[in-house]
Amino acid sequence: MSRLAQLQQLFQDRILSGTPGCDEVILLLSDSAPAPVVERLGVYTNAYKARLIEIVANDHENLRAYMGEQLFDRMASEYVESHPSTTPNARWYSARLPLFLARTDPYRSWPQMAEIACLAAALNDAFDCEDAGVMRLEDLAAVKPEDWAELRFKPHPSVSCFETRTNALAIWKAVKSNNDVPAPEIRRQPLPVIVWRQELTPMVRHFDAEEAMLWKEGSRGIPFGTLCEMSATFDRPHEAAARVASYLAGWLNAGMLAE
Amino acid sequence: MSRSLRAAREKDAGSSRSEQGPAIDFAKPAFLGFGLGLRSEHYSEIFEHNPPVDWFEVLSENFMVPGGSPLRNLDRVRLDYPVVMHGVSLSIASTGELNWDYLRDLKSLAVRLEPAWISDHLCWTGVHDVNLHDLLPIPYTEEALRHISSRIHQVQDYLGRALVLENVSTYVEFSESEMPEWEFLAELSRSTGCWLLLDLNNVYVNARNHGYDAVRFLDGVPADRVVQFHLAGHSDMGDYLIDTHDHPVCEEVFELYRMALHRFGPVSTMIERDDKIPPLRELVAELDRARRIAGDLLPARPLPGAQDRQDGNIGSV
Repeated sequence: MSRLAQLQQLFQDRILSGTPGCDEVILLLSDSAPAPVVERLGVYTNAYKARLIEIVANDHENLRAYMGEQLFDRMASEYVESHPSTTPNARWYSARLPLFLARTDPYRSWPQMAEIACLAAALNDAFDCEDAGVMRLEDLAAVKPEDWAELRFKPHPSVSCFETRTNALAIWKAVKSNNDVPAPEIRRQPLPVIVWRQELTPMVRHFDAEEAMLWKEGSRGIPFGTLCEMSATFDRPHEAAARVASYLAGWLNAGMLAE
Repeated sequence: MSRSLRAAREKDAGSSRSEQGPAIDFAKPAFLGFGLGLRSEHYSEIFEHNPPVDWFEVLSENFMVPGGSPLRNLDRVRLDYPVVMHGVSLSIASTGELNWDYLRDLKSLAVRLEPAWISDHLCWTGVHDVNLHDLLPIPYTEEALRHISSRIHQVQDYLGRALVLENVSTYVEFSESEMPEWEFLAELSRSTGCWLLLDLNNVYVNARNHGYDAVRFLDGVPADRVVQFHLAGHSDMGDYLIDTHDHPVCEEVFELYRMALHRFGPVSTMIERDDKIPPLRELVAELDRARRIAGDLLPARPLPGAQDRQDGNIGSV
């Protein structure tokens, strides 16, 4: 290992451990400046943690408002300690926060926290994900009646659909709009959530169970005709086609489907 | 050539290089005038009022994302203003591997933006695939010089253009340094052809933190290698200064700017503010002060102003 590599390794270990006091790194540093060298080295060690906590807080400001600054900052500090950044772009540093919250005590006892983090991450991802043309209702006008059954759809790249087991979305919305925050609830049936970008704005809403099932199947290339058949087994068969058409119109108007 | 380097190059279908090696543009970038750091807080004011700023410096990583608003807004700014790209994660002084995925994204952003130049910092940000998201200090040794020069060559080969590297603020110095910071910068620029972004606030901060005269720093930097100045504010901790970029430029740094203009002549100048970001008009007023200082000191060489920008005369000094 070169001398430079050795020195960088020591310096990095010192920043990651945050240990104060005299150590090997201190011995490498010139002490001719006016301020004590430990104090000046502290500029790097203190800034490291503060900066990463700030990145996590910026990405999850509603979760911070929900948890309270003290608990959030303690949690973020633990996240920073256990997750050295491996991305050159700080934009993705907090990506593992939902998993961290879901797996780590005491946060995993409050499952709504991981789900709120998951919502925020999906919204952040939708915000700057790749661009793609959107399929419009008008685009379907040219489809001949006999071709409808074989019509297939492609989700816009901004879309992510996942299940929540708590009322995380209701909590998230209340925190965001500064309303009374509902008490956390665990649901018997998971509640699907869809996140996407409409024009340039990230959006979020619940899907009902049927819509979520159709979206999932449609996303993997199942054609319109088969979706209608699936819908007929799900609920009132004679209204199935109308229901699927209505979901489809909603997806098109919201810009959830790509060209 | 490492496997990752070869892979990155093979992926890089857009660049042209001859049998003798890559074609690198080493021409000195033209003088751009007086610019500001592009901050999202100012988008609406920029779009509505087309403020008298000659160019914007964009933080590369903020736009190294797949799409959406950030790139849409940036494209809109680019229609009306020249830009330069300024990164924080190149980690040119690291002893870790160069990150070719990062470089690929950087190059792709450069293709989109056609920036006047691409800058980053003379520092390292981590080793062993860790990024500490900080601009970390290096020892000014012959060994470091050789190591960093070789990395600059690789990056310049890949980007097809000379890099611009900035001096960073430091809070510690390594006992084993063999030369002063300015000599290191000078040698690096001479040996690689990279240009220098002289952050005058960082010069001032380092002079205070390490107890030397800032003018010695300026005098040690070759007069023909500097293509950009940063002006910024810092926080005074008593015995030392921290480069926080959350204050207006202080009088001492403006004074250093006067001295730098004497030495380096007309150099593209910008105000860098990263925190406690004020309304755009306040930064434009601060920038106008820099513009007046330069105009007074360099009367024989008219500097382009806002009017020139609108007339499309940028770069004519």
